[in-house]
Amino acid sequence: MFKTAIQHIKRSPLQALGAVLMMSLTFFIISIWVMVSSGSEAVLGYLETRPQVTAFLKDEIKPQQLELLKSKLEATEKVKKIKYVSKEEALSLYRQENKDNPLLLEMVTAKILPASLEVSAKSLSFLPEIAETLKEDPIVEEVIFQEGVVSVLSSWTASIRKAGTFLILFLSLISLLTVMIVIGMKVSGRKEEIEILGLIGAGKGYIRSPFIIEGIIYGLLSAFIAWLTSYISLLYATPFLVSFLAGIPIFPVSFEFIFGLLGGLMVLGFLVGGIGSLFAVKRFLKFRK
Amino acid sequence: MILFENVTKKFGEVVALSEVSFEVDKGEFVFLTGPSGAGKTTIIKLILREFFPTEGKIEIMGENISLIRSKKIPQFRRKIGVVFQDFKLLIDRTVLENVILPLQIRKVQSSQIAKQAQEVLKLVGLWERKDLFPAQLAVGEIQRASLARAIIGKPEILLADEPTGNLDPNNSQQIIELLKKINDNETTVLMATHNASLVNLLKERVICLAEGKLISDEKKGKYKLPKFKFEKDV
Repeated sequence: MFKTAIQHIKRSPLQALGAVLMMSLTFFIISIWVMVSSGSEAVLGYLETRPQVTAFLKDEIKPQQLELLKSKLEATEKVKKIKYVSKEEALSLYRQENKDNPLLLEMVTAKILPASLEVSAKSLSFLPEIAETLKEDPIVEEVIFQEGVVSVLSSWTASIRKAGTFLILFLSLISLLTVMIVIGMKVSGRKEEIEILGLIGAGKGYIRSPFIIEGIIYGLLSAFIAWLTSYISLLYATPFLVSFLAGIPIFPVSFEFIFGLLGGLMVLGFLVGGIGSLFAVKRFLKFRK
Repeated sequence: MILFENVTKKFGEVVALSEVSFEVDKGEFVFLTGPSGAGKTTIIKLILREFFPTEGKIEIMGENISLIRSKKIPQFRRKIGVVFQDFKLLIDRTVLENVILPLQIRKVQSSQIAKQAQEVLKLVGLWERKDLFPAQLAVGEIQRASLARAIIGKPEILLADEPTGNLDPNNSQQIIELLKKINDNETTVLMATHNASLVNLLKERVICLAEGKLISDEKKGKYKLPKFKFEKDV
């Protein structure tokens, strides 16, 4: 069966090439979408673990006042983590961030930098309430929180996911139709052979199998090509993405993700190739009766 | 082995067979004769269950073919070998690949396929040409390859539709001798032909058809040219 399917492909290489290129293109777009979607998820996940509210404190506050504020925040049960950053730690961070600019380092001392509280919320929806609690406290000078950035990214990720589901279905349908057209043409071109095989006692399975295997070969080959090109594209774009996402550690992409993507594409290729060719062959055999 | 009981086959308004009845026993050699359009090929196609009779009953190896389910047709056809008038060999496969197809379909073991292929190709005299494609063979050789494919599965019935139609007298005689040899092994042979000299050569049973009707059925018969309607008209 496999040998016959390979013979079919060899006998009409241009049709086979056309089908594989078309399917590779659609699988490539699917693969890129999966990468973008997963990347957005990773960025969102990273941002969610960062302190989302920063409260800069007034100078010369008493430790009891700080503890009182911490207790007040914890009592809300909406806070995941609270971290106090002292003036000295703030200076150390400042030095670390500006180590390449000695002029900026010379002019700054711990005295002019404020101490701060970095607060992570259990949910993004709790951020306004936590920020309000902090603002009302007399030891707090200023409150900054990243609700806008995180919620925009969150809604983007949800949109990408929704649009992607539609995109995958649409592109899979295109691949399915491509396989159906190519295999349909091949079945039609081998009408006589199918008729002869039927007359000498070949069952439907024997007649259909080489065409279905051919479709599966197209699907698997296209999936592999799509994976390879998208992986190479990712490697090529990595330096740009690393600088674009400055500081967000999602690179290097794990091998689990890369090989998981290969596995997913192969399963999709197998299903699209197999189902497409099965439909094409079934349709012809139905007309034969 | 083969039973036709008042079988009529119509294609729209055209009557291809009209109330034909005959019975062929196991191991018989029967000629189906008659001019073109007499209904010989229709009988062969009905036996192969390519289509159903419009009226009447056909039993092949004890099975009413109208009652065989579609799923069972392949198994049914594997018991019948067919030599087609137009050979029906796959042009992109070698003689060997064509001949072994019925065994591959039955998933016979490779070693057994090789053994049977050698046996049957030697019988038809094509062993030396097994790796050639149909286009590289002479017409007589193509017909012998078609015959080899029909008999490799050791069928109970062998149908031959004008197997000598495109052959010269020498090749025709070779094919007939092969068919007789196959018949000697208890295979029922039904051969459709309009070649009178071949029919008269073997002195076997002759069923004669004209315009879809059975006009004679004689043991050890001779080919009798039926009177055609168009002759009268002319």
